[in-house]
Amino acid sequence: MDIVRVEVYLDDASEPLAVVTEPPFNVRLDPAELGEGEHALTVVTHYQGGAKDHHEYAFDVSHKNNVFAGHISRAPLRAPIEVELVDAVERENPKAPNPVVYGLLPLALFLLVVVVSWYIAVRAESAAVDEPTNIQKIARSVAGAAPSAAKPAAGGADGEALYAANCASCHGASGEGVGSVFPALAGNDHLADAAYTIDVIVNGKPGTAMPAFGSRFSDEELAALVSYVRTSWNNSFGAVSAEDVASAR
Amino acid sequence: MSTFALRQPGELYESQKLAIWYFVVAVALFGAQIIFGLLLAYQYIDPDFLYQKLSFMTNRTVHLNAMIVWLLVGMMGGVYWFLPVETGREVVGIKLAKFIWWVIVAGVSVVVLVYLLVQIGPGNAFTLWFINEGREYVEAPRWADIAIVAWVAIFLFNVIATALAARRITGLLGVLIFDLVALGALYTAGMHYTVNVTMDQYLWWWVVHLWVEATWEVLVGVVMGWSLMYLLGTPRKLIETWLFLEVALVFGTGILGLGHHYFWIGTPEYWIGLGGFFSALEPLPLVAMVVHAVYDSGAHRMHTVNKPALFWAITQAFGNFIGAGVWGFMQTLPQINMYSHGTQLAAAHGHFSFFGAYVGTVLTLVYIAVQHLRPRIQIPLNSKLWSWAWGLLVFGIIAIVASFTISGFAQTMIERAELGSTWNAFIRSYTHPWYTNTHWWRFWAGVLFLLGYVLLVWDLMTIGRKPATEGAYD
Repeated sequence: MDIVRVEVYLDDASEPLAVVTEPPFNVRLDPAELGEGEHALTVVTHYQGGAKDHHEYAFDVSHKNNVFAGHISRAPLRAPIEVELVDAVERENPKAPNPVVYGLLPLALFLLVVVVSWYIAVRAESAAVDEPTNIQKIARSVAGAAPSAAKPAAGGADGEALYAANCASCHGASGEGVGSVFPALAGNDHLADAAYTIDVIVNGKPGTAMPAFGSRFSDEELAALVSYVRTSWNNSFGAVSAEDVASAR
Repeated sequence: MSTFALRQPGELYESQKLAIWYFVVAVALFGAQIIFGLLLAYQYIDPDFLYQKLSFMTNRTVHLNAMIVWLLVGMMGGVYWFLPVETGREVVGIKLAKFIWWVIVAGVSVVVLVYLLVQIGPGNAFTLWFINEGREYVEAPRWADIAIVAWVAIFLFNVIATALAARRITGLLGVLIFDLVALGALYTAGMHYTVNVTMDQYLWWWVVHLWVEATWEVLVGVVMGWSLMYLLGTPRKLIETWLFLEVALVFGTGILGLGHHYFWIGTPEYWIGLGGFFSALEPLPLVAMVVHAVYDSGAHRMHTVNKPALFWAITQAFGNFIGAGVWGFMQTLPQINMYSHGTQLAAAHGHFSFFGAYVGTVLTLVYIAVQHLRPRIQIPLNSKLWSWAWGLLVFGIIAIVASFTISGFAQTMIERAELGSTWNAFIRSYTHPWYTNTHWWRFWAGVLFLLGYVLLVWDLMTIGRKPATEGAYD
């Protein structure tokens, strides 16, 4: 059906606020010209042949701080016309952007960030080698991690301190191990084989988490360590000498 | 912007049609992200599952990259949706925008296929350019990096050229332009290869931190500003005043808040003080956003043209504050971070904040667009299904975050405070019931989340299709 006329009534007015007789069938209202608060807009659409429709819109208008804003809170289904409220910015004639501020300045800032990050990266690349940072030791309270001052063994190597610093984190402070992942050393019969024990500590055990310690310690230190695990926690497999370690390397 | 000049489907701007493609791809990638997330959750329970076919590390890469891409795509879609409405004209350079969009879609597909097909290999110049750049979150090979920068540059051109052609600048547009400059330029900082790991990480965080904690948050401020104007009819002056406040706070705290990533990577010690101080202030703008959204909703007595979008907008405000603000603050002070970093508390924060800040934003935008895709525009847009999808997604993420948080507490206690960073502590915390049981909670919460996603997609395809009860709003 063709629309011939649309009448728009504000609130309880008996006279129409606007009458539209040709497309586009839309109505624009300016919240600045309406009172603050809730309004109802009745739209009567006349079709060719005399039929007509009523649709009711509800909307809020606020005048806070001289900002005249409106918002439709209820719009009818299938209304054949559109209702628009004038936006505050439209009324205030928006400024045209300055092409220098919004065109050239963004470009300059973009290049600035790119150049700064590129400069930092190039400086980093110019370092021929990755120099290790000089890390200072932090005093720790974790049991067993601090070297024990007691019991320096003959030759100066302290098996207990070496064990606490290098082995206890996995094998436990008392050689108890953790589950099936880190074998217990206390009561471990494999330790009876001195050559095997030295081999595992010196060369590690491929395929497991056990690392090789051979290059990190002297023969005396390794002998003290092997002797410590073979004679502690009720183990009584006997001590080994630095010569034993040297011949196993 | 007139708040309810609701155009009919045939009357969408070309830019808005492009925005719909952005939203379709975003929601599809959201699904991919969830599937790979569930796979990861299951691999925590059974580490041998699909080992060396789809290993944990590969799935994690896809899970994270899908997230970054879909959220960015969703927010850019929101800009393409609102830009013609804001400027009152078609976007300038829309053909170029469409061209680069399909290049990006093809590029992302190739990148993901390469991740899945080439999981292991050497690290050399070839792999850096064509396989994987190796930096977490931004693993994309360098050719894709260049395409991404071109994409953002064209996007920036669209916005600037449209504003210049329309001879119209608003506070929202001004903020958007400078934010996009930072967004594009900072991405280039993640493309350098250096032998020095500290230097490498130093620049890498410019992308990772400065994107999500600075430029993305500002982008959210802009698109949520438009959304609130559309949803509630909030006056522009109010929106822009809050936006300027939020931008000042986001950049004022977030840029130096970068320091919380520089605590332990070999950077000078002054970062501990700088990062600790500024990142502690980072929740402030998020509080401002909550106050703003709640105040606006209350001022309009929740009268809105689009119920699901308004709910997601409010969820976004609270989710951003709790997930990014509270969960972030929990571990950002160096005194605490020394014990908590590298534990699952970081994952708890990551899940909560990305969901709250960005998923909420994108789903708000998607629901706003959906309102215009039906034969008749329904006002207010509503359905029963969206609230079920909303409930399952929100409950799912809270349960996921809760289980991450509990396992993170166990790790912080055992692996850091009690036994230090040792193998023994590692094994003990990984076998602790607080750690192992929560794997199951996380998995089942993920299943609920997936169900929420399915309902969401179903709702998006059906909402507003059938008109609400005849006469209900007449």
